[in-house]
Amino acid sequence: MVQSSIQDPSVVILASRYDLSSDHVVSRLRGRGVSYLRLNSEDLPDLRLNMDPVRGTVEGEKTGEFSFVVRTHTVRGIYYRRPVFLRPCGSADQPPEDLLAKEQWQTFIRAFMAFDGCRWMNHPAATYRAENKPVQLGLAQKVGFAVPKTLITNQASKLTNVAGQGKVAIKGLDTILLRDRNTERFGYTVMTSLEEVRPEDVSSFPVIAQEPLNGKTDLRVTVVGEEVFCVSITDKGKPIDGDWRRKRKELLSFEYHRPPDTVKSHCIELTKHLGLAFGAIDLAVMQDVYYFLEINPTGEWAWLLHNPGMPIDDSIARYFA
Amino acid sequence: MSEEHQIVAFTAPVIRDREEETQVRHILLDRAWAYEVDRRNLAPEACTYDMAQGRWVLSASGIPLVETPGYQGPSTKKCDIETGEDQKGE
Repeated sequence: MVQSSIQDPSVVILASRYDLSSDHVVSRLRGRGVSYLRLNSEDLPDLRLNMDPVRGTVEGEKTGEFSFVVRTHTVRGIYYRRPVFLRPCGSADQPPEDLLAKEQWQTFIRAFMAFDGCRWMNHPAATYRAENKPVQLGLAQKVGFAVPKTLITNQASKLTNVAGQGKVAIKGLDTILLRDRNTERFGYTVMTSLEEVRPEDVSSFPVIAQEPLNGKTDLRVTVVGEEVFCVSITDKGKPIDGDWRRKRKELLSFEYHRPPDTVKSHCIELTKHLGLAFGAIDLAVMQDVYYFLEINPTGEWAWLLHNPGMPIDDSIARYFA
Repeated sequence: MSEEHQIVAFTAPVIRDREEETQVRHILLDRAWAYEVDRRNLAPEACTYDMAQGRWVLSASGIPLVETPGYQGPSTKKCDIETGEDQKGE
């Protein structure tokens, strides 16, 4: 087998093997003649790796197959597609040693932060802060977005402060994900009437409670640097009550949406204020008012490439080129 | 994470209600969507991962998967894997 060698790549992609979005970016980088190295967390244990944080080098090799050298002064950008911290979701089948190894490798990936003279999409420290929903909401209001009435609470009696027409939207402060052997639970936004919420339903940990936006149209805005891609999400043209992700995907329509220039500016400004080069923003428009719901610094975008057809992969490659 | 910790994560707090013990779970867990985890190989069918290229290619032809004519990619924002785009819950 001939060994491939990658020397001094311009772009480093830190991802998972199964992150096909990174495959799209790879294709676009190659199309632009940009040299790159992709490192996947699953592959790291199979490599012999040496990082010198003082000289700013990383060298790696898989004997007979693959080797690389990355140097601080030649890296122009890092595309970071890994979590900034691991959520304890309760996998019962992972020995402590495996978890320890996973955390150590995770830290190794984050150690690329030593490459501080290049562009990041996104820098893990910025992502860590930006993933905090209260931080997002406060900043969104400051840059000019309308924000639904919001309360973070574990006290059911206070939900009435943000309820509308006797209903309230409840979501987690962070991703709600639990795993028990072969079963996972994923928490979507819960739309419920006030009388259905008992004190003990929210007392064990706090929730984000918001006024429901009845009759809203959901928007997904993807920001890449200064570029904005906006799509509306409807049930074949009709607004969706509650969390659209609960809908069967074949019922959903994704269509281009042109937001007012002020809203586009708010999106770019929010992303910049959070120190992000990329942001996937969820908005809701109701009676011509654009409400900010949340921003995901690691949001997915490949689903928009073909339907409705947004060249986000090329935009990301351009950012690094 | 210890095994004991994992069990705690799934054990609902016990609330005394009219002298009966009932299991009460937080509303976000009670109404969470539960689904079976597919632990089969996540590799795309008939594809091989090319480490030097940093992408999946069709095993038979070597054509990059995402450049294959007709390849549509994921159809929802979560790629049908609810742990999300950056595998937050891994």
